[in-house]
Amino acid sequence: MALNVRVTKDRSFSRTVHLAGRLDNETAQALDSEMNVLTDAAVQVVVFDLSNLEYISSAGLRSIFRVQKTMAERSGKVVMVNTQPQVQKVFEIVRATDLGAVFTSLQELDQYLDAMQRKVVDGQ
Amino acid sequence: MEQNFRIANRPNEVPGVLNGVDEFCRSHGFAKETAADLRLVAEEVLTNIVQYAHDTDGAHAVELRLSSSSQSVRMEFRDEGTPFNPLDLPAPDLTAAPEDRAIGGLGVHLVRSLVDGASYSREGLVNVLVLIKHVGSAV
Repeated sequence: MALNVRVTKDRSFSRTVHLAGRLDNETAQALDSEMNVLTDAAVQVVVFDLSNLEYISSAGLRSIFRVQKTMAERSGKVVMVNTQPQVQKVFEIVRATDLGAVFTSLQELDQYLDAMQRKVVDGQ
Repeated sequence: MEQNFRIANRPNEVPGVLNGVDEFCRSHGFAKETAADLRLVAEEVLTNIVQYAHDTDGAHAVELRLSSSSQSVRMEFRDEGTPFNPLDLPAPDLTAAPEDRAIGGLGVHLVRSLVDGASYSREGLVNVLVLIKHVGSAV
């Protein structure tokens, strides 16, 4: 089982990165090479949909931290949704959960993005 | 029950060992969680060894000796690299900002957090790292 990376554009200011399989030393490069979509400065929120991510190692964590760094530099956000138990455990060991909001359902995430969209629209 | 893996210090040889660890866990009926933890421990240790242990470009053997009892799995990693005790590394700063967290130490921190016992010794020219993990059964 390798890694499958799929990026969807949900809203003008957000991208969702769907990860399936294992994010490890063998596959982290596949995520890194998809992250050039984030050079678009309009992207303010990156959502990692981890519903189908079964495993993560330190190499995978470093890839996610790099995305967090990119987004932090433009005052953007990284959020996680549907983290599975094995991945959640690793996040807790390295305290990655305090780096971004974690949502347990897509509905909860949608509400968050709706609120942010209103803020973006109001701010214009 | 025992199983030994012996590879050259090349990153592309590591996944084969990790799949072997999965297979070992499956055939012994370990819980899925235990299997994932053991794979993670093996990935972190072997990746460190193949990336950093050897100063020269030549091929060097790296070994993983797996053995299990009803209560625990013992993983013994052996390499002929520079003397290095990963258990001596200081814990990474987990309160640092994201941009500072990409630095090393995460893998070793994961290993130490996921095992129940760890010891290091230098046997002649060989680094020997022994890790013990208590296991749960799949049933």
